[in-house]
Amino acid sequence: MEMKDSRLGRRNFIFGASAAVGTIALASTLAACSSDGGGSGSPKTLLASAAGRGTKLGNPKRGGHLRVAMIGNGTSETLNTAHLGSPIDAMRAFAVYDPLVRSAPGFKTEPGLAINWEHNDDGTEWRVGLRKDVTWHDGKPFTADDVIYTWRQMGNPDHVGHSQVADIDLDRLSKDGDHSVIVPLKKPIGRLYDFFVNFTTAFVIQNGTKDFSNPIGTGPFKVDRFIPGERTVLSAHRDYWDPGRPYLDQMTLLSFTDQSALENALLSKEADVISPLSYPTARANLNTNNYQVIVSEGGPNYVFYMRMDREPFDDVRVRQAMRLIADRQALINASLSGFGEVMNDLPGKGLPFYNGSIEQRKQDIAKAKSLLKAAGKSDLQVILQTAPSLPGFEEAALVFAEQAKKAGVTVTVKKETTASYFNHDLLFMKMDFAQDALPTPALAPRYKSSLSSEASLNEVHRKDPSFDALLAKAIAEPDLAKAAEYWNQLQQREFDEGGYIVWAGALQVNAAANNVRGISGGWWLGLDDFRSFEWWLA
Amino acid sequence: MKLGRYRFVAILQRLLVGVATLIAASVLVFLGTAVIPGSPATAILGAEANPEAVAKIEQRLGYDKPLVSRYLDWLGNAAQGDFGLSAVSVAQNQDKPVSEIISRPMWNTLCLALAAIALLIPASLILGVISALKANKWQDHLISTFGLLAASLPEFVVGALLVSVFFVGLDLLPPISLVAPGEQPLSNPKILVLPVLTLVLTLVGWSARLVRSGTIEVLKADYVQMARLNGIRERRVVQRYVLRNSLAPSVQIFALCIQYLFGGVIVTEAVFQYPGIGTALVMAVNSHDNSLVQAIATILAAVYISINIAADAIVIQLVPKLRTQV
Repeated sequence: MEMKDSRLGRRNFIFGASAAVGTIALASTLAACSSDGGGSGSPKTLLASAAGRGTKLGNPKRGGHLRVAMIGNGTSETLNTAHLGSPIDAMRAFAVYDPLVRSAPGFKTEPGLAINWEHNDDGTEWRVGLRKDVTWHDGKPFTADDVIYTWRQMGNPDHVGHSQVADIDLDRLSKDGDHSVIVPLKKPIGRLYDFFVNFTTAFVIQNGTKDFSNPIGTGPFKVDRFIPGERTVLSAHRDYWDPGRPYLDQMTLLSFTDQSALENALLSKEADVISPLSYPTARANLNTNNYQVIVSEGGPNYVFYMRMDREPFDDVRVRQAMRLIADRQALINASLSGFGEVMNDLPGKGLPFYNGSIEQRKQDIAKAKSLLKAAGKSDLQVILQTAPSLPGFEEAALVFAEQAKKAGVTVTVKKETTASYFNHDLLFMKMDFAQDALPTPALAPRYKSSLSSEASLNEVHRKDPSFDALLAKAIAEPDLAKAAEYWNQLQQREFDEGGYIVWAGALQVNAAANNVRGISGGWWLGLDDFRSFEWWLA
Repeated sequence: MKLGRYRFVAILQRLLVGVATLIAASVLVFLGTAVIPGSPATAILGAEANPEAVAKIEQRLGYDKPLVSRYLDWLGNAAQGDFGLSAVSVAQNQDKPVSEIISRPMWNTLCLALAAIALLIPASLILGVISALKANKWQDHLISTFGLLAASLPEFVVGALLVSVFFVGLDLLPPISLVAPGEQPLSNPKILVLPVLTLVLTLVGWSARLVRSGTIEVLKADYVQMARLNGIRERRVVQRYVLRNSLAPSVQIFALCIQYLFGGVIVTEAVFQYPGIGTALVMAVNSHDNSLVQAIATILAAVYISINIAADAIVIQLVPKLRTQV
């Protein structure tokens, strides 16, 4: 439920992305500009049958050695929870450590190491109840001291999740017995657990841990050997608290740099699971028996963002017109091979508090023209900066530019490098019209990171005290019915006046050999959101 | 004695030029990594990095010092074989020496390169000499056409074609070349076949063609004609007079090929996921691990220059005239 607001998430997808980018020729991209789809093989039909598809089911069998190959992150790969920054880091960490809150299929969460979360009347103090039957890999019992130590470490400025615990009064954290933590807050939070779903803040480390070269976790697997950028050898933690799990005896995580090699590894049986599978390959193999194609239920929210504090996007009519220009399904078909969920200019579709009652925005060129005319921008010319950072980014920019022509808007696509695109010293946060992908495991952290005036990732440069106040109320409200009302109001405002064109939830596509079982699609990281304790070999 | 002195001076001269070239290359590498956008600190800490935390890491990396001073420090240590600590590991508080990270990939790459060289040299000589002896006949055309076709394709295309044939089509050889920790590449030679073939195929057409030219030139030489006129059998003429005399230019050709091979190895390793120095370099660039990039690039430059010097030394040894022309 937490959303990952960090660029970590983005960088993480970025890295995998560069590998997953299926090269889509410009000609085919532009040819796919129509959203109609058409026959039974249209992307839309493919998506409808594939979203949320996991591996085959059956009665779990114990034993075996699973080899998972992923696009890696080179020497930056780490088991230090303070520096997790890529999907392969997240996968490894979910195997070795345990989160306080687990992701579960269907955009849900379930208890991890924390089994209950209770708050006082005004949401300024929480009591977090912990599992009692948990042991670390070295045999020590898991206690409240571990959680307190973990959260205090998170407060360090060099921790990737530090902004997510900014409202916790870390100095005053205390325990009530060995399995209960008292959490005083600087500001009230209605759903504190939302901030601990993201892998940047999810994991609990052992009290006193400084050195991560021989990491001790409570997770389903122990680390036998870890070579960054190459492989991690893991063996089952047989005293794991979740009964019967993990099913596997051993798991090896292989780090790849090349997408073709990754797919060859699966075909040559050097790997049993690969992540990601490129979109074109996934489409070609969706209905074959070569291997099982796994498709997530949701994924990072693909956006075009407009800078709200500068011309021409400081005029709400221009922003609304740009949102009406987007033909979302056509963008998905052309740039994601159809593997995308149509979004409605709001992040977090499917999550608690998401306002699904707002009517889906569709392309309306006449209305867009009329808004632009009213704003005195009938001949609007803008530059859209793009980069090959994620699968489909450049293709989507080109398709949007074509769509804009219909409304008389000239969109010039300017290609940048990935290295400068997300670099604070160069382009990031300085572009007027650009793209991003927002991993969103919960609404509160996403809005807090991207849409409040002081947000560190406020790409749209929204500076609006009344919006901030409403967001603060929505996050703080402990009464869930009231909170839902605030969130609805907030999202209606964002839908009406915001600077994001949220056009797709990009589905994550992975693959497994035919004898792999127990992997579901996952809803925000893909590949079952790395719940490897459930996986088994037939 | 005099000849020995000339030879010594000639080789010393090339060594000095080699060292100067290596220093120039290291300056370029250092500058190149310095201007790449992003730093290990921001790569590790993410977009929401606290500026103070970034500054702290960059200070630990010595990025607060002037570039010249950083370079001189680095050069002094590198000259003693100490390439310092991996920048990413410093940012992660793990402080791993670069030498520890690259020793295994270097060994793996050496195995791959030596296997390729062991195949490339005899293949080039045989094909080049056959082409020369059968110049403008079908054998020559066949070798030239296929050789140039393979040479005109980049490594990743040749690699993909080989995978299509030997894995997808025939299911004979693995399409990827993983080496488990603790294992040697040679303990499972099957994994080396396709990477080696990729490297050899991209080079053999080119090197065989150059061997062919050198051999044809020798075949036209007066002493070869004289040997034939004296009734010496063709096989003996080729073995005794042609091959030996075409060897000197061939040494330079093979030196160039081996130099190119160390560049091609980067792409080839990535195609087959072979855990060598090329894969390590790609990963280091992706991770903004500047000190690792500097070390690997400098080592590759040193190898390149060393091959050049070695080739020169061999040629000086083979061609008496050069021993007196310093």
